[in-house]
Amino acid sequence: MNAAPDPGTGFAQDVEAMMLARAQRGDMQAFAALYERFGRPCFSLALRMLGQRQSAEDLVQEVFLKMIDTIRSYRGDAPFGAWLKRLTVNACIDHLRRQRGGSEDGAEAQLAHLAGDSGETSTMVDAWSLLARLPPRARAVLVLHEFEGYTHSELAELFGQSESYSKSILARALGRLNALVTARPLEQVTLCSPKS
Amino acid sequence: MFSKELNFGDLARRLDAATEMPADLWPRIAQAHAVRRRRRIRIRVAGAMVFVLGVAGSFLLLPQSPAGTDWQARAQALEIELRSFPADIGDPAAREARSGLERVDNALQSAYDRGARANELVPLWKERSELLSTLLAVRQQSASITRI
Repeated sequence: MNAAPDPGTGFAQDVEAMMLARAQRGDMQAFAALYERFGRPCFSLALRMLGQRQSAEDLVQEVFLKMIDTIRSYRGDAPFGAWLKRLTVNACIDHLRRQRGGSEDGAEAQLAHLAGDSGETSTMVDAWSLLARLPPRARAVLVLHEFEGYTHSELAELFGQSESYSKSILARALGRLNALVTARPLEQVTLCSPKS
Repeated sequence: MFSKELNFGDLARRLDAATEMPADLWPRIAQAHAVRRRRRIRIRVAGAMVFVLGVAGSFLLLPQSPAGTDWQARAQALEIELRSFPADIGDPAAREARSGLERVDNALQSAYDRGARANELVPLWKERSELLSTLLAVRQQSASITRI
């Protein structure tokens, strides 16, 4: 059921060795070029996981500042984009941990509460609100599993939980999304940007 | 299956298309980096200054080390002090000290004639000071006995 990792997110782009070497020497123009290339996928991932534009902007800033500080330790064992994506995902999960009510119990409880809410109609659904209607942790699990191709084993490690935890959260989140879109084909889903 | 109702690849493309990048994000990141860098530099400079001041303070507060003693000046001062006492006669320690002084004076003379450097002269002046101290102690003791 997993979608293949989406090359459209842009983390799969190659980085020239020369540009990396310049960045590792602290060249700000090289950092600007890396932002030009990876800023959008980083922002897009953060926005999907956090659901709030301002939080996503703050997180991208945090990730790039950390990248500037730690790029000397990047040895090239994995592609640069994968390394940066890992920084982004870790920062998002840290952000969710810091959020009040972001505990695993909270995610389960919020999903249970949403399942009982039958007052919504799918005619009001847009692409962003599909994700926004999920609790933060459930949204993060779904985004990482369905959009980014993370396995349950990897999710368990990232969240410090068991595999059954992420399976349970994902199943409930998918059920919730299914309920939202079944009455209306995705082609008719409205597109709009999330509110700041 | 759920995937028949919702295609996540398609949804991801729709989400990306609807995502507007903030135009001023990189300038903000670069500015934040510059601020952090300046702050780190200030902290490092302050740390270095504290270290230098600490080292300088410890030099000022500690007593002068023996390596810094001017043995030549000390020997000359002892010689002046020695003149205020009557000559010692027959004391074995004084005799030994005078013999040593003669040997050291010859060595000093020879060293100056050769144009010797401080690393050779300083130990000789130090030895001369120590011998003069011994001689002075003998004369002080003799003087006190005589007064009794």
